[in-house]
Amino acid sequence: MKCNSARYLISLLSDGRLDDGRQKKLETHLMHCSECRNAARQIEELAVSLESMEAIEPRESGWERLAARIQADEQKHAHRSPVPVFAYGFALIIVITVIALAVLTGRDNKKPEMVHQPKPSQVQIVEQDNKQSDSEMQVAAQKESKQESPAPAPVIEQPKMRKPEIMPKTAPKKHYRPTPKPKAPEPEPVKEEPEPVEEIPTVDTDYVAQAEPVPSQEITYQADQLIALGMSVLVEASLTDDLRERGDEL
Amino acid sequence: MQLPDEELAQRWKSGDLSAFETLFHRYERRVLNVALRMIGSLDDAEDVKQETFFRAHKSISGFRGGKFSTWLFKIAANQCLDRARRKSSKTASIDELVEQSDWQGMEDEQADPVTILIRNEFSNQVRKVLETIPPHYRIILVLKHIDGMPYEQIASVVGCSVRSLGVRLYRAREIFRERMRPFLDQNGGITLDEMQQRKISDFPAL
Repeated sequence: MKCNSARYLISLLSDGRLDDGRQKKLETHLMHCSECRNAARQIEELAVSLESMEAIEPRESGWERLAARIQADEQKHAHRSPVPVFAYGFALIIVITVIALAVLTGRDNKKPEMVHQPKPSQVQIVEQDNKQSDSEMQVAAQKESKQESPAPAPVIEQPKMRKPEIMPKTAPKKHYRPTPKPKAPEPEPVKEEPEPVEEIPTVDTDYVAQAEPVPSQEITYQADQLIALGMSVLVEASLTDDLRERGDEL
Repeated sequence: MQLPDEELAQRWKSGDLSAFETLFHRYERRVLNVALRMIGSLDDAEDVKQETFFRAHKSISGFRGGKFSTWLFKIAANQCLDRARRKSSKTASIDELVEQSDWQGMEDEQADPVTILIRNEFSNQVRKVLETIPPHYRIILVLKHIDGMPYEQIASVVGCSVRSLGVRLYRAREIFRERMRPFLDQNGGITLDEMQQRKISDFPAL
């Protein structure tokens, strides 16, 4: 038997939890191991020393202190109403509803993206490729627009909704040609920095917002308002709870 | 006739505070002494005792029968361990020991002053060493030797098997014995029991 095992058995023996078989093995080991004999004696002495430590008597006012504390705690909780719990639940329902609405309206917003709306510069690239025919058609379109409507604003927004992918470089579609140029200075930077049509990203939410300003902005604005409303209810609920807790502490 | 703990606990659970008070007076001394030997400071031990019974009152609705003292000492042991871990291994000062002795009035008027001196010095050493033992080992030594709790109940309180408790106690005792060794060597290699039995004239240092 190793000394470590013997000392574990000594510990069990001092607690009276060693069976006869192992006790005999331990006694055999102790007969020829002076270190373990010394350890056995010290373990027993330490146990006696701990057990002989004087006990302390409690203070008499212990129960009064405890009863006062319990009473104060119960009063504190009696003043607290369960309203904050409902407020949190209500706020959570609003937030979930708002998120669901935002997701649904987001789907509606993304539908125009499937049409692959181009950026203004991309429109201009295509226009550059078809420079000759465009210039002819621009003159005609400008004349038409002047005749039909003197207001330039809706005519300027119109080209941004066109799709570059639909129109290949080499064969531009005719229905795109009559698109009037919004302003004269705009094509100039396009000439300086031409971009390949292949690198056009298929999804551009910013541009989608520009492409259909009126309906999508309204929907997005409503969703933002709903999210803000939900968040304000949450914040208000937590502030109310904090104030209540502070009030209780005071 | 004294009502059993479990019946008082059920009454307490039903809202009878007088049953709680009875149990408080029945157990406050044991909880206080366990806390004192775990933490070393009397003020902290009183705090632990108060916190233990306060938390017990808050969670009495969750008491599902069984041995009440085991349930209570689980709360007390957790409180002691939390406090002991937060507290650095502060060594008790002589002033604190004297203050404690005055407060508790532990001196036996008929005892020999030399015996009292030796006993206090010896207790001081044991207590100092006990406070240096890791809390998870200290708690089982305290429950076993200070409180005198049965093996099975200690295992329930600390949440381990009886077999595992035997191993833990062995390790705790090895640490305790190892750390008491310098103190024994300083006194000429005598054993603790011998020191307790000897008179002051046998100690050249004193």
